[in-house]
Amino acid sequence: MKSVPSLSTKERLILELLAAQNRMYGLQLVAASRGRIKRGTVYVTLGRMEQKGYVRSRVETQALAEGRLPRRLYEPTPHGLRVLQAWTAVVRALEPEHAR
Amino acid sequence: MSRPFLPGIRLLRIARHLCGPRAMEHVVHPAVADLQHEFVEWTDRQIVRLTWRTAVVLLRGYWACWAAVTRVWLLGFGEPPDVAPSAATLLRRALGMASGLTIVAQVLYFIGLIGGVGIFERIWRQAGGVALVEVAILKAPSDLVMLIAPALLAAVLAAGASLRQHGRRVLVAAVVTMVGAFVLSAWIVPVANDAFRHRVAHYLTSPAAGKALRSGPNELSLTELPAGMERLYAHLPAERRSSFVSTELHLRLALPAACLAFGLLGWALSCRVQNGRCGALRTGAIVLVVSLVWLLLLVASVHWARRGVTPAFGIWGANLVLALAATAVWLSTRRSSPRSATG
Repeated sequence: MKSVPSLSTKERLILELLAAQNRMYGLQLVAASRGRIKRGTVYVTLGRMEQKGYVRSRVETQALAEGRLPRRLYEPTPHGLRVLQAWTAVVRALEPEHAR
Repeated sequence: MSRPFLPGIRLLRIARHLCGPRAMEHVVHPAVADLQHEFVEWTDRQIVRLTWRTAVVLLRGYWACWAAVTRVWLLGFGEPPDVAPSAATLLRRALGMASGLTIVAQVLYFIGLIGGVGIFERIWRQAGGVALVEVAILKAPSDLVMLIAPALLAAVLAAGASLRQHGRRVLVAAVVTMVGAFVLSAWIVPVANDAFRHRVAHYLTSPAAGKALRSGPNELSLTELPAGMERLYAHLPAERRSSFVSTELHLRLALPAACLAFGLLGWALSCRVQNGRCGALRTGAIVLVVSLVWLLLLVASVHWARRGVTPAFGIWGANLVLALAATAVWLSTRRSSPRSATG
């Protein structure tokens, strides 16, 4: 049986931020999350999301100073956006009446 | 202006030993790239007033990088399965881990955390540090024989998902470890124990006291055991004596056989790993819990068997519980994904 795609709170937040901005670096995601995503965990979460097919990444191509590592740029995949959409719909549907 | 240094280079070198290639590419490299990017941004401003700010940027960046490396090292990061290690590699890793743990145990023993400070203080005072090393070396085989099976479990778990299709390699490694542990526990450990006691008595009292010591069950080799124990417990009723002898015999065989049970459980658990390795923290926790359960069952069954409450073959129960757990884990993995758990 194929497993149902799942979305943790952090993954949902990252997808929401990426959906709004389209492309972001890890550090930009940390800044935009206003402390909800930590610098020490953002790349582990992004790596897992990439494995699940929610985001894709590529390293920056601009010329860098000698010895500097290129940063990684992340963007949501259509599958990731669909999962976010479905997840948001489910969460909204399950909200108690008074919260609507 | 030339920059004094680019941060994160040494960190990358260390991280390469702790993280797999995928974790390096997707976690460590981006984290270090962020650190370097931020650092270069601040140093490019060339404002002296901002030097303290650059230090804060470096501290924050290094903290984040080390947090990411530690997290990946402890919990794993879905590395693609490596080439499955051969039975010889598994064996080498298990023996390496067991030897390392034995050295740690000896160091703890040395500083008196386990053995009691008084004896070591007296040996140190009377014969010096070299004697203490000699005593610790003689004690080492007893610890090693208890650590081989948990070390095999750790070695198999560390190989993780790569062993999914290679149950036979684990079996070969477990059987060879079992034979080695049998030789160790049946002959080498009793001889080392005997020598250990004699040296301790020699250093603490006199050479004559060392020679006068009688051998107990732990100092008798497998071949000497039945006759030696009959002599040792001649004052006990025949029934009690017989339960003592058979308990000791079963224990000598059940201890090495635990390698097989630990190996099989390790393989069944590694089949459950989705991808890559288990992670140091998870492996350590599993090994600790499994070893504690096994040890508690073993100690309880030996206690009851010596008192004749249960038959001596009850000692095998601890191994049996692990083997049943391995079968249950393997069956549940096979049921959830029929193609993933095949030997």
